[in-house]
Amino acid sequence: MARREFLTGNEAMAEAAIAAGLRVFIGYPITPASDLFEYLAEKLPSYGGVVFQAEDEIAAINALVGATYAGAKAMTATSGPGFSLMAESLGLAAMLEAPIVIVYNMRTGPSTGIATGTGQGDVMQSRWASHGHYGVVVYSPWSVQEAYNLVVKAFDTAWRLRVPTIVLSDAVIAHTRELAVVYEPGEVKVADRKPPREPPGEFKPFKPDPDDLVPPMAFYGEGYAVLAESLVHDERGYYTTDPENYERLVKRLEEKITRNKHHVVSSEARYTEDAETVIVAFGTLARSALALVKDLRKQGKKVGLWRPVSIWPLDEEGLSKAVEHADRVIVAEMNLGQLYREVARILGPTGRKIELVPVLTPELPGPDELLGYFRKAGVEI
Amino acid sequence: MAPRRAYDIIILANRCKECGLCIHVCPKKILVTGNKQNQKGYRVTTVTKPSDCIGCRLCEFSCPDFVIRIEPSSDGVPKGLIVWGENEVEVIKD
Amino acid sequence: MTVQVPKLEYRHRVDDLLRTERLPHVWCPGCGIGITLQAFLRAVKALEAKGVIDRKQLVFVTGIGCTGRASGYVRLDGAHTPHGRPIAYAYGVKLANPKLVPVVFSGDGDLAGIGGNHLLHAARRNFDMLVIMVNNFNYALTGGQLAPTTPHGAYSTTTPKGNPERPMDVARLVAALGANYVARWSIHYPVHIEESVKRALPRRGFRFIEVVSICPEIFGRHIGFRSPVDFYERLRKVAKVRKPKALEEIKYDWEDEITLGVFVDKDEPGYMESICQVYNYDWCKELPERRWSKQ
Repeated sequence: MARREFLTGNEAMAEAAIAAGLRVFIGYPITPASDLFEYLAEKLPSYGGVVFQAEDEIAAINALVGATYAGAKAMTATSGPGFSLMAESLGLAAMLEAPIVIVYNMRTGPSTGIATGTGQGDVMQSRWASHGHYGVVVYSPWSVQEAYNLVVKAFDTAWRLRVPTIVLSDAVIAHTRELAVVYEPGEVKVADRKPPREPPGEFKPFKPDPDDLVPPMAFYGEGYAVLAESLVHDERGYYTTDPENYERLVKRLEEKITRNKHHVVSSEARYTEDAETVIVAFGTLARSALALVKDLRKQGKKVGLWRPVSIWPLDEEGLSKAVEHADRVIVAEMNLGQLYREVARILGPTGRKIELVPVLTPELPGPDELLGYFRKAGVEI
Repeated sequence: MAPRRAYDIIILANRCKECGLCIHVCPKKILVTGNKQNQKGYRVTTVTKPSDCIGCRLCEFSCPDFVIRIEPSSDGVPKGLIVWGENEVEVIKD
Repeated sequence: MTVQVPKLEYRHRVDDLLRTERLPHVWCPGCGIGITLQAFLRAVKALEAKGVIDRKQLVFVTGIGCTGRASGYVRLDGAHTPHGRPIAYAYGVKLANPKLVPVVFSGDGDLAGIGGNHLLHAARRNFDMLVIMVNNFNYALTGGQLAPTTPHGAYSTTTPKGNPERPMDVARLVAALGANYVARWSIHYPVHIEESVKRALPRRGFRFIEVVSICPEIFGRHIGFRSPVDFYERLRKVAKVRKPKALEEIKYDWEDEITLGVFVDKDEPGYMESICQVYNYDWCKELPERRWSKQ
């Protein structure tokens, strides 16, 4: 039964994972994600799931990949320094098409940064942390409820597309307490694997279905002698240096996301119907941006907000529609311009003026403070 | 004393890499480097006197390349069987 | 004499556990990895024949390096993971499906070098898995660089004047951390390796078998051996089977003695049973380790 609870973002994301069928959580303590781990350590075993504290984040993500191949819905939660350590095997997860879910609570970087501060400096890192070209899906919530919904969505995306999926949250959501509607396992819809259709011996673990480009998945222990090969592999999972195979594989790892993006992309537009200026912001900063938009509207300014929910890939059509009547687009984010580059790439050719407002602070600014950062950046509004 | 048992020394020629370990470990010294090369150009181990084989399987166990298999002889005659292809088997008898 | 023998199947004894279409394998002539792998596969077949294990239960996980390539040849569920991470991957396999039996098969550089932290903690936890480490004294796949196991003074491509470091005695280290089973053999003892696997595979807790191997093409050439047999005989001189009374008696010294033998053989509860003492999971009754334990 659905119930309303007053939860922190971390607690809500833990609840969401339980509802989505989480069987294995593997974590390593880090601020601001440890309390998600602690919450699951209390609660997950009563749902039959296992919680394991790895020796480091490297162990955690590799174990996560192994867990999905053994048939379990599996998740970890971390922050920037931990995610940096996971970088190599994020590529493994993409290469093996392992449906892992990572809750990534951004804090103030770079390096150890300010462990207790919030941040948005990891937009690019969440997409490009590992070497080589591969696909991932990244969602970014702005509230406790949305954090809950997006963790459920992340499990659905990960298992539907066999792709590592990241919920890019932040320190503010992690520890903010809000009312959220939560469910029990079985009450939310989450995709399962496509089981193999051929018998052992004929089944090829990396042979994609032609329509969605996603290969059916055989689990360990089912008799398929599945080889999860981290090297460039053919459909059997065998290492090969054949250039055509390489091109096919790397293109497919990306294409299976773009071809299925109707399952993936999402965004929200507010007050954009007549907006001459559209502010682009994501995550918790978008809450301050919305408040600012409302203030500016009261002053009669035709300002709107566009907020991506899926960061990678972005809802490009949603963005284009939101700025239909705008000649100015202002990207405000808590870094020196990461989402800005994507927005500029998408809207640059349209000739609109695209401005950046960097908000470099370890604390989430309110609307007035945010306006201060606009002024500091020389962006009049 | 019971008569000595007869063994077949089966050699899967195309896996051999001519490392010489089987020849070295054979206590009866009945294995030698052959003259014939396999698909990869290695001179495949061959058998000189199959009847001397005592079936210790040290050559089989010490082969890094899954080449050798020792079996009690199928027909009671000790022999080397060098398998060059699916249908091509060289038979070596004393 | 050459005869046509249609339909007659000549196969290796362990061919049914190999992806034979991929043979001959990548390893150099005389490399000891194949000897170790064959011993492992013979043990699997023997245990299967006795009804102790089912090959479908096994998950064969390797890391990066020459030994890491083994997963590409073994016809079992498995994974070829990033450098140093097979033990970490195996954690997840076991936690997700406790009926599975992870077997990690990798090299000294992978397990004791870059993956050393996982090795320490898996042994400390007595985590239920079998780890087989082929020790070839060097990083061979990348061209013969210094490894944590390279003997003091030995030449490698990154220690051209000789290794100034002290090597790590990995088996002794793992024994000190409380693993249930620790043995070290050399490739001169293929039957002992097989027997060790037969004893250690169906068992709870962390099991570790080190196999001291030869690397004739890469390491052997650096230290002056002209053939696999030369290296094989030199290693035989120092590889001595003993029954040490204390861990301190175990030696790893290329000039004196590399102690071989079974160093630890005990039957304490592994990690999975330990969590079953706290939580009553459905699978606790079906743990294969519980069936295998002596109690």
